[in-house]
Amino acid sequence: MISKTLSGAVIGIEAMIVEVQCDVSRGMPKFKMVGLPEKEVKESEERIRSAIKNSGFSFPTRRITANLAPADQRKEGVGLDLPIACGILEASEQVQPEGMENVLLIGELSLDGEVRPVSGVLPVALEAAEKESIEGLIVPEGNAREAALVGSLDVYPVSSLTAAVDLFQEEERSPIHFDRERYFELKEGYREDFSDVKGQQQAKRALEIAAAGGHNVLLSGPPGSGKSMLAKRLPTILPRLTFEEALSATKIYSIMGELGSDTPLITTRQVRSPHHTISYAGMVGGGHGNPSPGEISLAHKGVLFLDELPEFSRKVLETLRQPLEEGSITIARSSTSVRFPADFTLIAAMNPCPCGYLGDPVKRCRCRPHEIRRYRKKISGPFLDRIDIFVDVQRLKKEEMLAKVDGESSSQKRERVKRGREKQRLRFDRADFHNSEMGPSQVEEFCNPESEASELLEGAIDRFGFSARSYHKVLKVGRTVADLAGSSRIGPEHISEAIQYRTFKERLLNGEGV
Amino acid sequence: MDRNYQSYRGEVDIISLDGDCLVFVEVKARSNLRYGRPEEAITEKKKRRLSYCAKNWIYRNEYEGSLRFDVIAIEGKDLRHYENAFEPP
Repeated sequence: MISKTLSGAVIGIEAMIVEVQCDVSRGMPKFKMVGLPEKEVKESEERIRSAIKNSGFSFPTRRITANLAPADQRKEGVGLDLPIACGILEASEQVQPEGMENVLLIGELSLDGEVRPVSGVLPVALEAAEKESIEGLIVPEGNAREAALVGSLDVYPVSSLTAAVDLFQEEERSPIHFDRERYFELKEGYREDFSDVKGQQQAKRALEIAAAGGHNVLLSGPPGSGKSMLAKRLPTILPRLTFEEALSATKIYSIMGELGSDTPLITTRQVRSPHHTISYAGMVGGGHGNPSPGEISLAHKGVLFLDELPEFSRKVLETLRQPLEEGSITIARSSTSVRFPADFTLIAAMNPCPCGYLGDPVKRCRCRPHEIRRYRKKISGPFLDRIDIFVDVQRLKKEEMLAKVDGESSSQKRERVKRGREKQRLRFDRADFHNSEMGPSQVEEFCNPESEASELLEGAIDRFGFSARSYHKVLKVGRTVADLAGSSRIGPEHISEAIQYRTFKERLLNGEGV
Repeated sequence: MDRNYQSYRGEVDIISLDGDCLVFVEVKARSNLRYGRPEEAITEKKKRRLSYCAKNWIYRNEYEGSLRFDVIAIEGKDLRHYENAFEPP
């Protein structure tokens, strides 16, 4: 007899619906799986065999063929264990399913017949929701709320193969209830706050501008000056995630298996801070078999924080150029090409010199000039071109350190950022376009400084030797500063602030002391 | 059903019916353990031979139904019966 059960497998960031066909027929006892199963799917034979036996059923001593259709696509992941096991039980007539044609199954089996949570449930659920023929999902208990995020499907959590089989045979099934909107509302919020950071007014201000205009930032300063503390707090002033944005970020975490059963949805903007020894594939994605997303995709809609920027390998930094421009990364293989979303704000941090104390008022720098030059040269010019704002973060003075925590809270800052973004939304007539993404023609159109401001800028070009690109960047940052102030014109006060975030870069590139 | 059934490529010790399941049994005995346990003597080669024999028997007797392979190991006075001991390679 032949049985058909539905399941899903992940390819890249999308999922495909897999039809698991099982045939139990006469002949020499043998279990054969076809349809391009990858290693972990092939191994499922042993898990299925034990799970079926240990759940009180018998593994048929007949010829079993399992086909995973479409047969020309590679199947990865252990989520196919459960549908294959159920398919075998149905084909060997140990189970009589009741209205299961419209239900999709996913889950890993352990030897004792328990169903374990798997990665990639959300993309499968989203794909299933698009198919009209699919009405429900049977998923491991730990993935239940994640699957329920889709909303339009009935979700039935199971903890064991026996439970799944019982569900198979029941006529009346009751799905779990999960209020995704309410969960999203409740879980939004950050533990960190900008008021935790003492002093560093300039850096805080720079991050506010970055948040408003979508600009990338480089923080330079001695160790312990609060660079990473500042970066970790950027999400607290970025606008709230929308549900759709949260879902697109959650999809990536789901594929990477980084969602716990208690966090079915990524409700806040994430800060990813990979170590500088990270490999190229770890950063942008890739790996054996089906490519998997990297850190930049995990930072989607959030912040990518690169501490010790010059220590990152050059190859890794160069690959960041495409995502920084386009908000996504394409990984091309001879057989397939996948696109992972990677729309993030970059915050890079570095020390001014190898020892970290150059320009420090107290500690003396022990680096030789050529060492400093070599250290700074490690970051390529084209990479620095993607950064709009450069800030020198100074070590805190004694008075600042001892002062009680004060300063503005994140919510106050966020209000201003919201206003700035609203201006941009009206200007570009799009919600997801920011000043930092303007092309030359848009800069021409929207960034016309007042005459006094123009003069100021001209002076700066002469004095700091700004390139045409730097000039454009200053204008864009100036636009954001003006937007934050709620001003439609770009005045000298806005331009001068923008210039200030640029001069540091020119000094950095020229290898001068700070 | 049959004992010491011989085919061109080998022999099956016992062929019997367990309910509606046809069972091919290989009996292996050892008087001492100098050459290892009896179970260890069921090699891949032996399994291939058995499954060839089984196919041969099924064909000749026009059997249709499920089947399995059992192993009976005899070690001195000890007798161990393994149901569904292996699947044909």
